[in-house]
Amino acid sequence: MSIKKTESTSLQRSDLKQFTNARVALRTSGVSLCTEELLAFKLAHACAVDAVWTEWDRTKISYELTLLGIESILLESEAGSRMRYVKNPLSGCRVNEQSHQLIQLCKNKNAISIILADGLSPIAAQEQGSKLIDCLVEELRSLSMNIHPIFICSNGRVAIGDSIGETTKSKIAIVIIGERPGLTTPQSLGMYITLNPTAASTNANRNCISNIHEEGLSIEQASNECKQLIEKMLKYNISGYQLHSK
Amino acid sequence: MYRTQLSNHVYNFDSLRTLLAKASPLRSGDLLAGVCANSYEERIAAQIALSNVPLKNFLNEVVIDYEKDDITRLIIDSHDAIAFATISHLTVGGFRDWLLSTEVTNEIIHQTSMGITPEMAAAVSKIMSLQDLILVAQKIEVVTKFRTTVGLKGRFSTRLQPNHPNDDNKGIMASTLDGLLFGCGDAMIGINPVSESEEIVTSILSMLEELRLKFEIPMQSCVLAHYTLTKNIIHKAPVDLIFQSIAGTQKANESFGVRLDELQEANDAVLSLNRNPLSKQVFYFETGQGTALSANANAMIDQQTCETRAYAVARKFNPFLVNSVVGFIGPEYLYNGKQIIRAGLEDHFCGKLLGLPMGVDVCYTNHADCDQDDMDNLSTLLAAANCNFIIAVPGSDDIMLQYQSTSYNDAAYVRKVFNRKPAPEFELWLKKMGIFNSEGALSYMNEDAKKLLNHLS
Repeated sequence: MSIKKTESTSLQRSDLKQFTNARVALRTSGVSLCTEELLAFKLAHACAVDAVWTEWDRTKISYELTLLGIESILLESEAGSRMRYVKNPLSGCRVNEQSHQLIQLCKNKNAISIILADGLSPIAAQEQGSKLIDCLVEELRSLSMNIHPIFICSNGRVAIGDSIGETTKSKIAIVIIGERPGLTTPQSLGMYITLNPTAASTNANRNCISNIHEEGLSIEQASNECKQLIEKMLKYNISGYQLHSK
Repeated sequence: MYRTQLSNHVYNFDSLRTLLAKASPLRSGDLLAGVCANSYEERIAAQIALSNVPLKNFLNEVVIDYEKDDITRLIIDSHDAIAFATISHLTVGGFRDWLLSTEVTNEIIHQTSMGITPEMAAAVSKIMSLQDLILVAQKIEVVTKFRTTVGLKGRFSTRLQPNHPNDDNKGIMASTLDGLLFGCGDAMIGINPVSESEEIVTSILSMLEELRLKFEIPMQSCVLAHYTLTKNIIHKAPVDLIFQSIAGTQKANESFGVRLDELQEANDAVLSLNRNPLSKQVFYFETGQGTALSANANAMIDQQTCETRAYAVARKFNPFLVNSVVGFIGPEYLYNGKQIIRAGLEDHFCGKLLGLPMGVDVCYTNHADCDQDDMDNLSTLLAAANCNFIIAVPGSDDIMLQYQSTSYNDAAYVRKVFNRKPAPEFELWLKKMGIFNSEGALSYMNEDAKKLLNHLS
């Protein structure tokens, strides 16, 4: 990293910003943050909170996918409401009865399930969802596996891929989900990949690609990484932390 | 069987475990676990029944079987009957009155501490108001020592937390220097690593050691890796303190790969380095309500009682610092500012009552119903309660762990409003460096302080 030197050779406190994105060298009034810094922080927090509670427009995502030639199905978790989803994580881990009947029509032993879930940032899924899926589907083409219609699931947690994967008898479940928003960006997506998903799968059986957003991992990098992980899973017939040592 | 007869209803509680859970002030984690009271009336009925339970009962009726849980065994086997004699005649309600009475001083509470079990502390806290939790906690002084002395009356310390999303050494150093220039870091400089790698942990520790020696800073550092990793590197890295997250049931600890006998070995190994001959305190523990439930190992015990049981583990090892990371766990355990504030004050009180050097990470995640105003409240209340330390991250925003904690500015605010000073050794250093002026106010721009900044270039 190149260091900007000020007048003499000595660093100023504001130069600390060159080394980290942390909120260092903030300007102060007395011992407190100056007005501008205080409001900048509050704005970042407001965006993060809004990201959690904003409703997403799934029909719009579905429409975008249709234009790209990709079929999709709209699902709901058992949570029913955003409030219940936040208070009871388990309620976001299974689809409701109606959605269950829908996905039962999609059984295929050698297929990949791609699930787009709102998670804790519906905004992230809304903004990046269809672009990422388009790129990912293209990338996965070389695997010569069937891909189910994309499952777009409201109030879903990571583990919802397990029950969907089990019902559809999928070989691979990929859950693309809005990550818990931090103050840096509310737009980050995560991708969780499980081989032979069943309702008994746990975090130990998943591999994760996180921090997918404009200033983090790109959609292209994430899609490519996902394909490579799946190739490795199929080769060793294993997924999760045990894959790291392969 | 415990019961409360109200004019229109009789409430029965089948066990002490149930009674404790039903008496617990409302929080989302107990609702999620299905252990909380079904109505406000039932909750207060439980508190009334609990207030009438003799403290002696807690020695005969445990919340998890002695045979099934090593923390229960630790609690029962280490109970000091002589220390308990002072309060052995009391009920839970009588214990509250005793703690609040002006004759019961810091010394008396310390003499009694090893006679108090975690469940007794949890029980009394459940029938205490926030005011009570503050009033009793502020009398209790728990002082620990490494290179600085933490917990003295009139002092208020911080753990500097200069995390970086890629464990980048210069990034960590930039946040560290910014914090030191704000008078922070007197409890510890502690980094949460992204990667559990021996090389990275060693590299961060070595960098901080170089800083400490170059500027003769009275400080201690810690990288918060699993204790098994830290134990492995003690002969190649400058390890001051050893870290572990702990919970209140054996099963929960097992899910984090934590065993009591191994904690003892790790503690002894770091002590044997003798990096500070004046100190026998090398453990830094983190806890938090909801931890056992999140590991699906709460054994139908309410989350606050579980939390106090983790303190039994902590006090076995005579730790340097204990930190309840109160709002980190998320709204499914502590839903909003009100619940987080109460939990923070409960944890601080119970920890102090059991003899621990308690600090609190005053914090929240973005899906909790909470904001910086709630954090201002909690840090102010904790300062009134004489909390040993809080966390200091740049601008309240931890860019690695993605949550909000207290800032360098918050620490300076508390010190100003409550007229608190940093740990004495650290205060002297701050004055020597010109970061504090002779009156102890921030004035960081003299020549010596600038040398600190140039450490990065």
